[in-house]
Amino acid sequence: MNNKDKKYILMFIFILFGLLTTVQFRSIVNSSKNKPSIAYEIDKLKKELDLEIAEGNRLREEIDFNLKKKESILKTFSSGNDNGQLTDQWETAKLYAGLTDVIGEGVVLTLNDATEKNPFQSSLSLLHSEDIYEVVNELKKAGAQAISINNERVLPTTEVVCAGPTIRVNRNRYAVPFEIKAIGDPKRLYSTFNDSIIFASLSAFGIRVDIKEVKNIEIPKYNGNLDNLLKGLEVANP
Amino acid sequence: MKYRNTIAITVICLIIGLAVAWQYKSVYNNKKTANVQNVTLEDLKDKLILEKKNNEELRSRNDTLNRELKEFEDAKGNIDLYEKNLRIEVEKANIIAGLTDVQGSGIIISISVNDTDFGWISSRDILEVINALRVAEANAIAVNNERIIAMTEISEVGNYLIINGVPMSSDKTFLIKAIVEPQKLDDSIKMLGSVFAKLEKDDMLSVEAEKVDSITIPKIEKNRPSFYFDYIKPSNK
Repeated sequence: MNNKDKKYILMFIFILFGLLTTVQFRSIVNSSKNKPSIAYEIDKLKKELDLEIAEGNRLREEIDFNLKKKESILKTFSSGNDNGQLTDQWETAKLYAGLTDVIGEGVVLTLNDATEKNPFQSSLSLLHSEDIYEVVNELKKAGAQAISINNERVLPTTEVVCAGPTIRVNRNRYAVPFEIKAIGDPKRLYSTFNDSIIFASLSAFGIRVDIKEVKNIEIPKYNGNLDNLLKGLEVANP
Repeated sequence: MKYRNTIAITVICLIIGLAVAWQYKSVYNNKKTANVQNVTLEDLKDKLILEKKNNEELRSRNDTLNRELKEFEDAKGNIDLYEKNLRIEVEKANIIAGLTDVQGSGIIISISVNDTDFGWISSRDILEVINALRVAEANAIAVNNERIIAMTEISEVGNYLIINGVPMSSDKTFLIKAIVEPQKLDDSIKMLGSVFAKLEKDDMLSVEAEKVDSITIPKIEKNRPSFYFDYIKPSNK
C-alpha cells in the first residue's frame, strides 16, 4: 500500500463524513422546525376539545333539566284539568316509543374484536356494523321488548353503520367493545342467540362474544332530539 | 507498520459504517413520529369539528326548550296552551312508537326475484336495505305495508320472511316504502345505490327505486308480537 492509495481511502472516508454531517444537520433542523409546532398544536386542540366536551355535557344537563321542568308543568296542568288522563296517555305512548327508562329481566351481550388477527383476511377479525345489526335482529326475533347498544336505545330509526374505525348508532359514534342489552324472556333470548348462525360465524372468526342472563337490566330512554325523528312526517287521516 | 495502517483504516471504516446505519435509523424514526403526530392532529381536528356541530345542535334544542318554558310562564292560567302542548307531546310519542298512519315525500323500493327457481330474497337483503334507509334518515319505513318499529324482527323460515310475525313469500316482489324529507330525497337515493348494486350483484334480484311526492305508511297493528310490552316496566329513578 503506497501513499497515493492511502490518500484515496482517506478522501473517500471524508466524503462519507461530509455526507453524514449534512444529513444529520438537516434532519435536526427539520425536526426542530416541525416537532414543537405540531406538538403545540396537538396540545392546543386537545384543550379545545376538552372544553367543547365539557360544554356539551353542560348543555345536555341543562336540556335534561328543562325537559323535566316542562314535563312537570304539563303534568301538573293535566292532573288539575282532566284528572291526569292526558298524562297517562303520554306515559303509555312514551313507554311504547322508547322515550322512558325501562327495567326488566333479559340478557346482556358484549362483543369485541378478536384478540389475534385472522391470518388470511385481517378484516374478518374485526367487528363490523352488519354483525351488530344481525345480532340485534336475532334478539328481536327472540321477542326482545327493549334493546340498547352501548346505552343508545334502539328505536325504529336506529342506524348501525361504520364510520371509519368507529360505528355510528343514533348519530353518535362508538368504538369496540359493544354492550348490547335486551329485555325480554331471558331463556328465549339466550337460547335463540346461542343457536343463531350469526353467533356461530362470529365465534368461528374469533370475535369475542359473551352473553349472560341478567335479572334487573336498566335500559335508558332515547337521548337525542325527538324533532329529528319526526322530520318529513305528517299524521295521515287523524 | 504496513499492517498497522490497514488495521487503523479498517477500524475507522467500521465505525463510520455503524454510525451511518445508526444515523439512517434515527432519521427514519424521526419521520415516523412526525407522521404519527400528523395523524393524531387530523384525528383531533375531526373530533373537534364533530363535537362543535353536536354542541350547536344541543344549543338550538336548549334554546327552543327555554322559549317554550318562557311561553308557559307568560301564559299562566291559559289552559288551551298547556293542553295543546300536552297533546302535541302525546302525538309525537305516538308517531315514534309507530301508532299513527304517517305521510310525506319518500321512496318506494321494489325488490323482485328474476328467476324464482334459483333466487329468493333473504332476511339479510331486507335488513341491509332498512339499515341503509335509516342511514339516509328515513323516519318511517314499511315493508309490504308492515310498519317497521323498534322491535320489528326480520326472520327467515323456509320460503318465507317473517316481519312483525307476518309471513311473506320470499320469492314474490317486496315493496319497501320510506318517508324522507323532500330536500334529502336525492342524496338518499344516491346513498342507497351501493346497497342496490350489492343486491343485484348475482343477477338474482332486480331492484327499482322511485321518488314519490306523497306516500302513506300504515301504523303498526297492536296485536303484532313486536308490540308486546309485558317484560318492561318504567324505571322510576
